[in-house]
Amino acid sequence: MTWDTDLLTFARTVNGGDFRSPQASKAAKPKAPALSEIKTRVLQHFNCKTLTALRKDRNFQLAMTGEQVSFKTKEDWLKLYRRFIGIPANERHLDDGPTVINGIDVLQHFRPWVVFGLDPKNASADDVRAAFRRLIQQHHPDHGGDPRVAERLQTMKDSILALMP
Amino acid sequence: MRDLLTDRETAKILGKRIDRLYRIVDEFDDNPHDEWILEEGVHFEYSGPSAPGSSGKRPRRFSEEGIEAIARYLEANEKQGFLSWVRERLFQAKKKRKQLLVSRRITQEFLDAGGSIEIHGALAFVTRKSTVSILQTNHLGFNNSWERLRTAGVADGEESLEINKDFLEKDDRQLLLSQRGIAAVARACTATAASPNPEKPGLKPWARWWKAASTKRFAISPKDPIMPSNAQNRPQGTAAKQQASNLKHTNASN
Repeated sequence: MTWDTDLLTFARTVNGGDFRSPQASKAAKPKAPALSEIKTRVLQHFNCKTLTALRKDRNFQLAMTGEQVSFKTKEDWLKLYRRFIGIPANERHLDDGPTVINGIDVLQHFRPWVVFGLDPKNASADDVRAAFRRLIQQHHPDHGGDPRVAERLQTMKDSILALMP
Repeated sequence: MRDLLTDRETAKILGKRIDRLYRIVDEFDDNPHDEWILEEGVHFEYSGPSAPGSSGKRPRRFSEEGIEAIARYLEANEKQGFLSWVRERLFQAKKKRKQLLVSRRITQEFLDAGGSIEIHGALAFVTRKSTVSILQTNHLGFNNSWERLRTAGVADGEESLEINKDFLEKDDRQLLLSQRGIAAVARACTATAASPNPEKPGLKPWARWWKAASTKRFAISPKDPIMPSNAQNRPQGTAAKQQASNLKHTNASN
C-alpha cells in the first residue's frame, strides 16, 4: 500500500464515506432561478418590458381576474413563474412526500399530466381515470392522506376529462 | 342590439379627420372586387339620411371589425415614414387601439350574452361562440389554440386550464370560458400565429421599412435604361450586362 492510498483512506475516514464528484452533487441539487431571471421570463411571456407595462397589460389583468397580485417578494414572482412559465428546476424531481406526487408539489403546481404521469397527446379518458384511482388510493384522507391533495387530484381529473374531445 | 361607434369616435380612434375617414370609406366602396371590403351589418351601419351638402352620402356608424379593417387598410396603403415609426414605438397607438377595441367588444359581448353568461364571484363565464367574437378570430383559430391549451400542463409552459376557474362545464358538456380562460386562449392564439416568415404581418416596423426601402431602391422603373422599351438607352459592354444580371437576380429574390 502506497502513501497516497493511505492518505485517501484517512480522508475517507474523516469524511465519513466516499467523496461525491462535484458534477453528481450539482445534478442532485439544481439551483432555483434567480429573481432577475424569473422577472425576465414572466415579463417576456406577456411581451412587456417593465413591471408597469405588465400591470397595465390587459391580457395579464384578465388572466389574474379574482386574484390578489403582488410583486413584492420572490415568492410572489415564483407564483407567476410556476403558472405561466413552467416548473422551476429546483422544484422538479422532489423526493416523495405527503404533497409530492411524481416529483412535484401538487399544491404548488397545477400540472395534471405530470402528476398522472401521462402523455397528453396519447392518453385516453380511461388512462386518466386509472391513474386517478391509483393515486387517490394512496392520498385519500381515509388512508391517511392530505385532504387538500385529494381535492387537488379530483380537480385535476375533472379538468382534463372535461377538456378531452 | 350592438352599440356601434359614431363616425366621429371612429375618426378619433384612427387619428384621422372625419372627411378623411369618409374618403377612405369611398376608397373601400369604389372597388368591390378587391380585398378591402366594408360590409353593411358587419363593419358598419347607416345612422340616418344624408345631410344637406354631403352629396348624398349617408353618415355611418362603425363596428370594432370595421375600425380594424380601416386601420389595416391604412397600414397597408399609407406610407409610414421614420417619424411615424418613432411615434408608434413611443406611444404604441396600434397596441392601444387594439386593446380599446377588444375591451369594448368584451363589454358588448357580455351585454349581448344575456342568459348564457354565468357569474361565479369575480369570474364571468361565456360560451365558445362569444369567446370567438371577443377575440375576433374564427372557429379554426380557436380550435388550434384550444388544442394547444388542452395539452398544456406538462413540466414546461403554462399550467393546465382549471375547471371552475378557467372554464366551466355545463350539464350538456358545453364549456363556458371565464376571463382567465379567454386570456389563455388569446395567448395561445398569439403563440400559434407567431411565425418567422417575413411576409407575415408580425414583421417588425424597422424590418418593414427596410424591406420597403430596398424594394424601392432596386425596383426597375419604365425609364430604367435596361428595360426593353428603352433599349436605345441601354448601356453597352460587359459592365452593363453584369448590372442587368444583378438586377434580375435581385428582383427574382424579392
